[in-house]
Amino acid sequence: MSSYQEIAPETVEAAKVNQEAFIELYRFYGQRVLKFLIFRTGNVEIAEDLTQETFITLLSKLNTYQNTGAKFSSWLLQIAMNQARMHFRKKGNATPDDLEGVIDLIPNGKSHQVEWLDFFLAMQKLSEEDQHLLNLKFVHDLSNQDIAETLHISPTTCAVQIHRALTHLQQQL
Amino acid sequence: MINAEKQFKELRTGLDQADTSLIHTRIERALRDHWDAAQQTQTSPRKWTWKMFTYVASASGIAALALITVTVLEPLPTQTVSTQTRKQDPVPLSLGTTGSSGALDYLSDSIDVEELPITISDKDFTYKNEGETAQLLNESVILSLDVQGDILNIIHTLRNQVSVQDGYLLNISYYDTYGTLDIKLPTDQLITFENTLQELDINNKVEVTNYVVENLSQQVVAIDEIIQNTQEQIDADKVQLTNENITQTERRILQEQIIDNEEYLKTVQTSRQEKIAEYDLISVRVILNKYSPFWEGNYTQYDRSTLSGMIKYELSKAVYTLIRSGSKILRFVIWLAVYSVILVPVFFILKKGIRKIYFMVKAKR
Repeated sequence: MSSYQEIAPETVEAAKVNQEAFIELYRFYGQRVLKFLIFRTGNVEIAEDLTQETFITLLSKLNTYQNTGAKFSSWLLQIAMNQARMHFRKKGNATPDDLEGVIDLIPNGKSHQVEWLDFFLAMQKLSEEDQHLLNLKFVHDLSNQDIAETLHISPTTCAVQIHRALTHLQQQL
Repeated sequence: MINAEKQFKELRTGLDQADTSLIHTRIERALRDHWDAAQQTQTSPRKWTWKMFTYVASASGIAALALITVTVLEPLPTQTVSTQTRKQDPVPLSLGTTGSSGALDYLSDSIDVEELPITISDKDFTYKNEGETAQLLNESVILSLDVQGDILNIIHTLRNQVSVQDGYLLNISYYDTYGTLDIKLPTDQLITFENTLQELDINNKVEVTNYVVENLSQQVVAIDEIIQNTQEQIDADKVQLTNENITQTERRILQEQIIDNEEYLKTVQTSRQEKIAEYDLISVRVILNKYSPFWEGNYTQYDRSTLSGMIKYELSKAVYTLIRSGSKILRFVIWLAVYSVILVPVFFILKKGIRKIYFMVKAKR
């Protein structure tokens, strides 16, 4: 299990007023957000757009951020989740758009395209929170503590819900 | 069977190993452009956004609503209109006259109403039924009703009604919530007039607060005696004028006496006509009370003997007192707060609903 590092608080403060600091902030967290959104949307292009939107939103809200001890990445992932939610709300359904871009990223993905399609469709049948749990747990490989902080739940609840979500997903498959 | 954890592992490996440098380069460029644009916006004049416009419009709307409420519920200044009218279009009557002598000055003091009834000669009232004993009755009634709307308009309506029913106005008095009309109406038109008033009352009910009948027959009889005596005196003086033995001085005195008595006779006959003219007319005073809701002070309508009535009374009184007392600014602020509490959640729910419909329609397209 990996635990992502957090950027230095000074960099976050500097990013409020300095462009280069902001870009450094992006380079630090950009890949994490992109990965999250690729899995969430099932489309690389849309994930790219939403990642851009996430950081643009971050830019507008950065002045309100105050270091209270909580991880900056938790807040950033919350913004990314909201962007994905808005995207699906506009789209009208939560079905992944197009898996081709995603499958290209997976080793031997094309040869098991049907399996991956079933996998993503089964994922969409889960609730939004369950999807986030599995995304953060198995794609980002975050600890239960980090996941609990991001989703504003207790670590105990987090562990139980992850287990339940995984069982549910397996039943769908 | 697909193993979920295995799929996750492969996906994670794929995403970790994927070359996303181009994606990040593009995003980075876009963020730099956005940063520059944001900086420019901060230095240049602020542009109005749709959101800002919505907030300003909502706040202005609520403020305008509060201002209108304060203005509408402003206690009206007291208006008073009083009109004294002379008798207009009196009912034409056929009158007879009799001659009598006497002084009108001590007439009313000498009349004892309790000695009635005294009848007047039928020939004086040509429109009376034959054989019927005539009584000169002076009737008066006070009718009270609760009305809605502008009191002045109602008074105008009643004026027209009185004219239609061959009556006439004596006096009108008007305040913002209260009005009176004093009218003379043929007695047989009273019921019709009361029906008109009932239609104007909010409860379709007219209250008779007073009814008085005064028999004026004795007064008319006394006047007739005066007329008769005066006429006899005039006739006697005229006869004496024809006497050749009277002196010039006596003749002049007699002539002056005849002129004075004839003038006096005219006065008394006019007075008699005026008394007779009131025959078969009833004096009606109509009192109009404007019904007003509780916030205009009508909280006394609630029955305080019951619990619900007591609650309504106290609540209404509190609202009325609040409205009446306190400065305009305070009332404006209070109404602003009331409308904000009521309307802001409504706006919020409406906004959510509109957004949902918009996205649904967009998604269908």
